[in-house]
Amino acid sequence: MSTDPAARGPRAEAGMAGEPASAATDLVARAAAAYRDSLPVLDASLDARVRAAIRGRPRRAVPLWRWPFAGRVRPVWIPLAAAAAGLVVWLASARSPAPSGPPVAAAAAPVDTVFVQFRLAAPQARSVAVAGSFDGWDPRALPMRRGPAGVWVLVIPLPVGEHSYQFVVDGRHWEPDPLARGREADGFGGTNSVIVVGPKGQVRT
Amino acid sequence: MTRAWRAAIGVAVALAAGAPAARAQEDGVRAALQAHGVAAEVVEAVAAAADRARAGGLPSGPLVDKALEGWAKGVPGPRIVGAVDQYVGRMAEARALAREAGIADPPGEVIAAVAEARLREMAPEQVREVLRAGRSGARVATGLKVATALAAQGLGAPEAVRVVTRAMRQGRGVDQLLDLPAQMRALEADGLGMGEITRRMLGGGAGGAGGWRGAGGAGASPGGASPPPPPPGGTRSPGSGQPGGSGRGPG
Repeated sequence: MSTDPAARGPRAEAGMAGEPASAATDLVARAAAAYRDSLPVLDASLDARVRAAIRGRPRRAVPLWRWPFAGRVRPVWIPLAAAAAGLVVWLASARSPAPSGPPVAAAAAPVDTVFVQFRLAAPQARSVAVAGSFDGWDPRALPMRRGPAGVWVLVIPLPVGEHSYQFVVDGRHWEPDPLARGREADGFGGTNSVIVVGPKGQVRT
Repeated sequence: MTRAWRAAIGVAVALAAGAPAARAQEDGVRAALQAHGVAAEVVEAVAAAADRARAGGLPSGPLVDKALEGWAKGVPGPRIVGAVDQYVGRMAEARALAREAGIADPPGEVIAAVAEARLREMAPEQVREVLRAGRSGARVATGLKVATALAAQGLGAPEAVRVVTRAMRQGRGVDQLLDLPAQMRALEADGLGMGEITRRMLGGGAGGAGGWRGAGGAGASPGGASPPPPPPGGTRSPGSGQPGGSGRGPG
């Protein structure tokens, strides 16, 4: 609290008037001065000594399991902690795989694609689809369309490269392409057809 | 902030950086299989096999493909797991073969390509010959696939390897290598015999002087033989073509 009489002047002027007020003010001022003179003079180095004593006090680690905790954090750590948290989130999101999607399609980089026509003559079939390494072997993903004379046809874009596939007849019979020259055992007792798609055209191997 | 706090943040950052790296591929295997409805016990067995493969420096992608293929075909779970385990062994042999050819640390695509080439009965020495001719993983892997494709088209494995290794040593790129099977079909469509096709392919190289007619640009149908009549009651493939030509687009 300030004891400066000048600071109290306006209030006194507003609340009192005339000579009696001035005499009271002088009385208070003299009393205050007498009180100040009675106080011991503080050492000028006291403030520095107190600060040094506080700095030298051993710090206690805040237990992490105590929540809510009250701790003091220097301002410089706040942006650093935020940056660390951001790094954690970024790393977690950047390194986590996509939750779905066929493995082949996981190669997200743009690649050359070529339109490839699959054809199978199956006059007695009720449905025909093509499934292969390009669609995660999903027998329902690429149904073919029945054309004249029972020839089933499908045109799809495929990335250049090598692909294995089979035809799926009536939803359950897996059959290799009868005219494909590229073949390999599928490891399950069947045979996959193999196709190599070049950038200038497609060839049945 | 105390040292404990600093250490805690450091540990958190290290865990966040390292743990996802270690778990991402494992989770990726599981996620890919679960997304296709694969049974839980098969997912776990394949994930374990993928773990072993990665620990041995082998790729896990082909194992996921094989498991998905078996599941889609209705193969019982134990047989799927058996086929996946067998594929792990095949890739281990493929890696050893690549190392014999001088590739100390073969990338996954090379290992998978060698495994596929061996599956299609390409001899180890022929595989090594292609491996030695390549300068990059992509070209080596493509060279192996094209060599097996040319052999399947009737060129003969030794000749197919010679055609491919010659093209690779001439600096042909991946796209040019992938075009070789179509070019061979074009020569077949011209009515040339296999001997003449072999001579031309070995003599000219892809698009080189004295070479063969290419498979054509957009709209070409290198496999464009007219379809034979369908057998009664059976199924046949009248052949495929490239009706819309080639294009470049997102894969």
